[in-house]
Amino acid sequence: MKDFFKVALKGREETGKNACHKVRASGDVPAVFYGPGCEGGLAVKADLRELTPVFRAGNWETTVLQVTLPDGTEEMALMKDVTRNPLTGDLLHIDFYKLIKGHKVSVNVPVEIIGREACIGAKAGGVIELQLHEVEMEVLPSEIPDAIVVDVTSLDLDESILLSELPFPESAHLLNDGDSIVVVVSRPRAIAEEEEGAEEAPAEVEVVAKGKQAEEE
Amino acid sequence: MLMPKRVKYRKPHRRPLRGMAKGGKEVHFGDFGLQALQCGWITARQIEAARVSISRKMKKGGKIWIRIFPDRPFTRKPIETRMGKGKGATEYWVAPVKRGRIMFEVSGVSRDVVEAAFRTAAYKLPIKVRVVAREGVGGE
Repeated sequence: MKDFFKVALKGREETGKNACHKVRASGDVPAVFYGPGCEGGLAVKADLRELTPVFRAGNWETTVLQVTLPDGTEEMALMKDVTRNPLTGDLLHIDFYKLIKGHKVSVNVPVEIIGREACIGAKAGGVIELQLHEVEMEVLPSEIPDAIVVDVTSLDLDESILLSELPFPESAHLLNDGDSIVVVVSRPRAIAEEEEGAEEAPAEVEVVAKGKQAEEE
Repeated sequence: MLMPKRVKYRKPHRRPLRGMAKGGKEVHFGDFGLQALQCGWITARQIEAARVSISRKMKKGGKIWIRIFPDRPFTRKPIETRMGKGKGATEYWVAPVKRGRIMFEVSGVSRDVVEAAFRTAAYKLPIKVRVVAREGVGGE
């Protein structure tokens, strides 16, 4: 049995920018709880200290949480979206999505590479390029994988692994194209001598509209 | 150097840069990114200089993405010219960059190489920057 992180959600009456500022100042994170059977959503707030271990564990997109709603009911939930301050990294807002047993949910599962050091192509000087960072799939909540692990040990130069070649849970329905390349070992680029065009004149730019005259016509 | 092929207006106003970037704040293509911590106009020449320095440090490996484009003309009047007689000619092109914007991204190289590459690139840029990693890639 998988161990779930437990998060207690508190009620939040006031919504809007100022109210959210106050919530953050008190050490909580404004959040919303929504999903099937929870129309309109529920404005809530979560304790930052309870959420820290979830983010520390990694792959929060696929971590199923056991949340306690303000009225005391317990629900399974997934963090659908997390908004952070791009400069400080502080949590600004979280979307909790209600999960129902037996109902498929759309998740973005991160892709992880293993066997980088042993990769045949990398040893020959190739560069391992992860082209698909996340795989979008509809899957049962009980079968959500933590990550899609791709082993690149046997990949040679110019070889790639397609999405359709990877193993997925039985209930998973891929929303990405199966022919999309997940990882490729490409040849190293030559060291380009990039001093060309250093003194190009910034001319010959086509102007679509020319000020007031063009607008009056 | 980077410059647009066609523009709607020849000489738009120079609007001040305030606040944080609206988009392009997350590492989207590569594993590591160079994030702006200040607002500023980055010229096409500075972008090119930074790209070359990153490229050299990364040697043969890796891949680079440039996430900003110099699409705004910067005009200047010739020296020793009296005021008036219209706005000056386009001198160079700039990319308006706001705080939080990821300007360059790289992948396929180790964190040490990335930091060395971005450090040299930072010397070519007129604003403070920092290295950020994609979530789950080597921390920040």
